[in-house]
Amino acid sequence: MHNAMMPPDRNNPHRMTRRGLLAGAAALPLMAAAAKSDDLILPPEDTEQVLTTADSEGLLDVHLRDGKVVGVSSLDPPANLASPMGLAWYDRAIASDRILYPMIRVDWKPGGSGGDRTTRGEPRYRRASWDEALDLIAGELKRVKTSYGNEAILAAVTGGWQTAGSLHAKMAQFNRFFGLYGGFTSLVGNKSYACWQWAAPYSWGVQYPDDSMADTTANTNALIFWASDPMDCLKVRGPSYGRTRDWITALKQRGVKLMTIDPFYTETARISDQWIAIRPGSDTALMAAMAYYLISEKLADTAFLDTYVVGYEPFRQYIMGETDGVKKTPEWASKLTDLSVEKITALAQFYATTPKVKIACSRGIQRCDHGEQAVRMLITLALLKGEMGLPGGGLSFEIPGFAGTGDARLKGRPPASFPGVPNPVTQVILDQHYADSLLGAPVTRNHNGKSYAYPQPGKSECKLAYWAGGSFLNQHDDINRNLAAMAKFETVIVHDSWWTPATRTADIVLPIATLFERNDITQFWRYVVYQHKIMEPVGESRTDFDIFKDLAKRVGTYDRFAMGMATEDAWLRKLLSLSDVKLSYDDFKQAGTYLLPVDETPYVAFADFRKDPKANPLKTPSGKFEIYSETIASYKYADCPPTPQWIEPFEWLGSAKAAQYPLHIVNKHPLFRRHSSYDNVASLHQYSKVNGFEPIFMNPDDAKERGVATGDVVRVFNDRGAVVCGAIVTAAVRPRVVLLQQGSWYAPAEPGKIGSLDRGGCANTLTAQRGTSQLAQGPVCHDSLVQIEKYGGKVKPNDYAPIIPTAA
Amino acid sequence: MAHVSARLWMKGDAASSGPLYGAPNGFELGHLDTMPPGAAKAGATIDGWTPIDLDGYLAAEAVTATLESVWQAAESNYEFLCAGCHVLHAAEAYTPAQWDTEMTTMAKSAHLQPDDAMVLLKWLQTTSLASHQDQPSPQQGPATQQPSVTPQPPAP
Repeated sequence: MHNAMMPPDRNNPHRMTRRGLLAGAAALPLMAAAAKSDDLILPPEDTEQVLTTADSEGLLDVHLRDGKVVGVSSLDPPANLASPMGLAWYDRAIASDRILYPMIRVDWKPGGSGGDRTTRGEPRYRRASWDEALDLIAGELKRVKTSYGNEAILAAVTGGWQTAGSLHAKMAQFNRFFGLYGGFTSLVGNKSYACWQWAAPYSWGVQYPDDSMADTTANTNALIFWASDPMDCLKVRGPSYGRTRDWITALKQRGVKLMTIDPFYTETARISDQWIAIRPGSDTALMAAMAYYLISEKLADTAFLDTYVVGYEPFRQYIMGETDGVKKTPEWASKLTDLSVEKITALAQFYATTPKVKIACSRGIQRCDHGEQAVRMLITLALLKGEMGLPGGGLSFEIPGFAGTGDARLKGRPPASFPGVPNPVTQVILDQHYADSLLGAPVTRNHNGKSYAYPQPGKSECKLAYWAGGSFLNQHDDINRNLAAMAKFETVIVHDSWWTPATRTADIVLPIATLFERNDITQFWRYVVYQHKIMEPVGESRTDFDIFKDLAKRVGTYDRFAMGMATEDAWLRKLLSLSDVKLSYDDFKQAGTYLLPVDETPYVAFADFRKDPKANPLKTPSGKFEIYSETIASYKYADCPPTPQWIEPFEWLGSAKAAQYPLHIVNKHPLFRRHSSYDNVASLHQYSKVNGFEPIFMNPDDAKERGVATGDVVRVFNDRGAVVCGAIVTAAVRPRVVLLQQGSWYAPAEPGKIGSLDRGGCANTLTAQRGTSQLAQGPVCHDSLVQIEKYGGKVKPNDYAPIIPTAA
Repeated sequence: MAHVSARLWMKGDAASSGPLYGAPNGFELGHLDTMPPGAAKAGATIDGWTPIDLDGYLAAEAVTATLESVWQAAESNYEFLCAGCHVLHAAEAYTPAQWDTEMTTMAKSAHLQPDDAMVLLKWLQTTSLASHQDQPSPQQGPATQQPSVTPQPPAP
């Protein structure tokens, strides 16, 4: 076993043999080293023992000899390929920046002053014992609760992304501890699909409907991927990727026409028959022009609209310019989308006249200013087409199945999770107004028909921040604003396994055992997997479960927290017993996996409603599809009209600001990270980085104008911040658009200084923190303008160096 | 077997099938696949709602003496099935209608089985109701009978 006090030997047991990102840049247009997972596996020849585990990146077999890991391979390939990240999990577990001990920021003081809050971010920490750290945390929790009430505790974690597992899911542990302790101020928002969650239901009664890969394969004639790139994005989930690849192969074999609308020549665009390189932020205008074509050419399905839809007439009036004097013609849209009139017209004609054409949309179009309009306009366009509820047609959210749509449905309960307790505190901060709320309190903001005051009348502002999992600082828009807002906190506590950007700004840091260092059970599509403990915890790492148990003893909630089950083993037996796994715990542990039954019957979204709208009404006020929403109208939001409309984004290539910052930056999901996770895994950097810097992809015309060549270090900046990146010049991005994948770790050249040059290339150093509108309050991270210049200064890329204790 | 009689409501005129509600403008309690003879009262429509009288038998274990045990099971389900992915919102954080929309999505994401999802939704909606009196006025369950579904919760 590894030395418990030091990071283990970092010899990579599964050498990756593919060329690095830079070497491969000329071969593939956008994502140079689009690794195929099976390339990354070297079959271990000296395996003595194989243990199963799983994370969001796939199902893994971990090969051991003499108790040491000698390889990681994908469980049951090829149907369930693990992603490159999954196969790098051991490298992640033994990364050099693991946190080894509880650490306390030298300049921090308990009791309310926070010590010197201005030096947060400077790497000066001292080592503490577990008892000292937990006593300090318990003391601070009690002090803040007594002095200010539970509202003064701001607490947040991320969900299953950080920790696949039933017992050790950080969210569940956190929910139970703080629910029993009286609650906390929480963040309300959805960085992923806010406009589908909060705007789409006004149109079709659900956030997004089920859709069926099998129905699409059998019946669809053409599939339009609108801001959807499943061939790339689903690589973070092994089984989903394998199914996606097989599904698209089947579509192409049947001769289904594939089209991609995207500013980037994505992996999905590469296998599409047509790529329409739209200008970012103008999707709603293109949809409106397509609607104009259908209406003006009398190709809209009026019989369908009459029977199944309410609120069409106000929309028709808007499209035909009867309300604002502007007809939403292809000519009008051409100026906004930077697509030719001919291309827009041809697309509209194809869509209008081709039977069984389906639009496959994802999340990108709604992480923009007024994303609500994009979502509701796209639904409306599909309503005009009239194929909603028919085999092969309609609008699909995220087929083939990242969020459960398009996947076969489980017939059986997966394991339950460690039980949470509902949060008794009702005070919230809107996620997209986090920094402004902290710095500008008191404030009141609207969201989806409700008003949220911060602080609530008679309640306290937040004094203590507690983050258990999730690299909040890195993954929240406008990092420099967030750093400034941290001055409001007297105490910041973080649970994590690595020295992430968020961890480096905390006052008390607790080291957490990773997936490889404890037992758990999880479910991944139809697989239930035993997550075996592979190695001893690195350093003094402990599980969140053990930490919260000890904290619960200190604050007097232990009995309710533990529910009489103090051990990991007792809880795992309990949680498995609540599932439909038909094996004993010991037999399941031995087997490693169990397959739940699935229902793979093809189905069509809204088919029941279409067949009998009275017997199967939609969950809208009228029971029908609603283009004009009386409910939205009742909110009287100036930034969210009741009929979907094109509204100019606050920041895009069409705005005056483009004179100063002439490039539109979009933050696509990364190929070799899951959000920010895995950015520190050195064995992935040969694929994911350019000479150690985060890559930024730019068009040859833009590069030439700036004297930039592939491999150059460039400075990317706007009025919110500046990062350095490694350039990749490629025609796979349209002119005046640049791609910086989200999630690279913020690494200030001057730690602790707000506004420092970010040598980590974090996209959120450049993004704005504001909401899509008062309705969904979603993120607008795809609406940022920047300028780029070749960087002449000396700068080193992020080395992910651990923080070494500086004082006893 | 347990004898069950319940008055439920259908929106609009009686159809051969469709969603059933506990009261006019009330909770949707289930879906009627086939209208039993005589269940719908001709001409009894009130304000756009038609009463549907159902009479029959359920397995004895499908019926509980009070709603309390059903709600306890639902609350336990909420804690055990939902806490792994997100903050457990108080039921009052959403209106009954919003819970309906949320549950449609979350049931898929969390792979909730249909019976679990239905009972959980009704508990969340009922608990939410007290703080949303300005919403349409559903009653707490059917007039004469608790939900005729056996919850199979993972009791802690």
